[in-house]
Amino acid sequence: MSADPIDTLLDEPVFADPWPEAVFIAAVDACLDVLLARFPRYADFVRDRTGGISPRPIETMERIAALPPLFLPVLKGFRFELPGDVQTAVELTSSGTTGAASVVPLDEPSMRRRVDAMAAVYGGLGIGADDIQALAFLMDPATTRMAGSVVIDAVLRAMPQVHSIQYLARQRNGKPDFSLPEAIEAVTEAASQGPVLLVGYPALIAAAVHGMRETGAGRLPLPQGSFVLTGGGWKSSLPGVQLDQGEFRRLVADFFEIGPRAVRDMFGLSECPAVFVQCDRGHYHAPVFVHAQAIDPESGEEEEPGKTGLLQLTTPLTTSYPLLKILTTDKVVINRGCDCGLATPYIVPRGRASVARFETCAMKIGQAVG
Amino acid sequence: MTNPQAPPPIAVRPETPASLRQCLESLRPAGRELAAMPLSDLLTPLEQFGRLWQPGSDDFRRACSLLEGTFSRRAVRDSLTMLSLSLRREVLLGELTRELGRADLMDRWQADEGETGFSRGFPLGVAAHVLAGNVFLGGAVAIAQSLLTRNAVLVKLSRADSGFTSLFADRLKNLDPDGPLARSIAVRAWKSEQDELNQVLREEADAVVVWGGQAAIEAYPADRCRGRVIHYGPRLGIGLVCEGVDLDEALPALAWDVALWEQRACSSPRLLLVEDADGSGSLPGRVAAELSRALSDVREHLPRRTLSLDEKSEVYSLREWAAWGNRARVFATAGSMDHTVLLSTAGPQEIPADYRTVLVEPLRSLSEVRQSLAPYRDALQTAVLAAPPGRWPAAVAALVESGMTRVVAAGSAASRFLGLPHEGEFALRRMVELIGIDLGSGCLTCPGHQVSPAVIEQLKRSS
Repeated sequence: MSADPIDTLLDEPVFADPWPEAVFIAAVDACLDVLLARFPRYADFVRDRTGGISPRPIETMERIAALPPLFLPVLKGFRFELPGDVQTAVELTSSGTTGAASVVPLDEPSMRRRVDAMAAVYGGLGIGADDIQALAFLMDPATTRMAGSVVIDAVLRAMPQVHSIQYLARQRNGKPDFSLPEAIEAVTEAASQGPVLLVGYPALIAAAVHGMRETGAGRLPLPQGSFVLTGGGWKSSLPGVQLDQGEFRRLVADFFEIGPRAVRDMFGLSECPAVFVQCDRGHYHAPVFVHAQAIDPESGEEEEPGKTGLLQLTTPLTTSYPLLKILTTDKVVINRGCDCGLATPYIVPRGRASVARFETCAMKIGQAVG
Repeated sequence: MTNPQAPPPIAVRPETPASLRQCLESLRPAGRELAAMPLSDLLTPLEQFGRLWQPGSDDFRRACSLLEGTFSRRAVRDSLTMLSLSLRREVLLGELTRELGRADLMDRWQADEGETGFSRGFPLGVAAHVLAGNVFLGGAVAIAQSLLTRNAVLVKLSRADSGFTSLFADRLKNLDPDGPLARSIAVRAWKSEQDELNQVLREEADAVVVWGGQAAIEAYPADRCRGRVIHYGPRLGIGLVCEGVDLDEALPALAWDVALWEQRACSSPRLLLVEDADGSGSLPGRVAAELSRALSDVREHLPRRTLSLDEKSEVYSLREWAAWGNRARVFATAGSMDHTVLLSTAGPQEIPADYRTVLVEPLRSLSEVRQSLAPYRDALQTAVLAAPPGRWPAAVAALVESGMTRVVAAGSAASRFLGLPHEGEFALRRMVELIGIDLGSGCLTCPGHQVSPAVIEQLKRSS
């Protein structure tokens, strides 16, 4: 057991029941302590929004609730100045699918914790229990800083059961480059060698399955212990590839004969070190490292279970950038009581907040800029 | 949430280019009948029609059930009352006189002093109004403007239409189902992306009046339309607060203007220029704080509509951006998104739309008004002015020089529908073709030319 409260939290069972609230609170306090010292602008923000009352020590969940969240879109346009004592090990970027990409600088401890947290989630859900080879339908991390690629790569490399990783896409001259024939060949070959983990963008995996079917292959059974793990990109499909998560799951499970419970999706953000991986019932459970809430942005209060709010994530794992508590523009419902047996709450994504405007004679935002 | 009292949505039949063309064709003869109708025959049914919208009537209740929610009960009730009053005979006669110069402009040839020159107004024919979805009276105003100028009218509904325009048109037709009024009105709807239908308007309408955003304006450029094109495009509502004004009186009135139409009207102030003669920021700061209080108070009369989660996210976003970008100080009620006042600390910037949001921008003197508004010049229309009486002339001059075409006292941004110029001209005059007849007089006429008394007599009789 580590004495560091943050690492102590990481030592907890990833879907612990009951939730280790005291350990979580101690980790939040420790994380906040570092962030307030390192980031004066963040400290000013916290002080302004809490009416000048010192937020520390954090000893209760109520004190955590009183901490103001950073709004995720702000992080895409505002960079906190890094203090000299933060040695950046890696800079992660978001995909930028909703506008500007955000940049998340991680020092070695923060990156390590992020990788440990994700590996713990995988392990907790039984992903990669066997010796397995990974085929990543992701940008080769040698060609990108996108969080999805960089962190998953680190996690896979940290898992001893993963004996090889092959990337099937890469960034080339600033554009994604994906070779369908190469992907088909890689999947076909891997299937003959043992359990396979197909991980990455669902659009690329779906394209590979469609490609294999077009070549006449009705099915390609994968060995027992194989998994398909997707992340992101449900709306940004390849030309001609329509993606619905349910249909995708049926398609892939049938084609690879692995059963729908071996097809999981991940929900995550580059700004949040905790990832939500679907359980075998398809629910995105929160691991112990994160306090996920659906928030009414008007009142700042948590919505009742079953009611849609904006996803707020409190995750005390990053000390190299003030990502302790963030409010996202993802609309979610937080539910409890999953049949899979995990006691932790799970999020039900409801899309991203956006405003559909009708034509009016009142000029819109940004049309007039001085 | 569904309102159980609300009538079912008015069904709009699918449109095709052929059906739309046929609709416009059927309006032409009706328009000719309308043109021949004496003014008094037009005013009588309009007044009768106005009574339908009096408070307590069935149609009043029905309209309220359609409209409340998007707008406050008070805004809806007062607007319908105003509509009812505006259609009274003596009011319409007064407005026609002001807008057209004489109420009978379209009924008779009027001779000049020498009785050799005559003028008369004629309708354009079939006027197509492409409506915006912002303010529910837009459709009613469009129909009224067309009928008062004896134009048959086709209105294209906005996809955000509440249903009131169709209700209004249906009731008007029901007054005299077989008469020219009923035959002169058509309500249609299609998606703006269906350009083959837009093309029918461009080719067939004698006038296209476009109310709304930039995309709608661009769909009907003058050089691609056969008829007269009248654009009422996107506008930015402005306010101006001068030193010396009584803020206790002015700011509640300004708050009313901000809240009444939920900033969907082009007259709703969104950018508030505040004099800061000594550069201390004292008056702008006071205006921002007190306007925020006034916007809280105005909820008593004009409760804020319910915001969706997406809209709340947008309000949250604009407040956070203002704060994090060091661009503005935020004044708002804690735990509420009923309004947001942003006190600019970084000069001109993007101006948020909607949600009762006002950007307060300091300026040193009236001589800076023009420069402050220069980036928005093409979008200027209405300025709400809060100034001591002695400073009104100078303030109005500064606003006009900046490009404003309407200056209103605080609290009056949306107080009337007709009778004042709209965007530099009387709206009714734009809907009329003025025709002149010259029978000849003076030294430039052909020597020996005689004015024919018989022609004069015939022209007078033809009225």
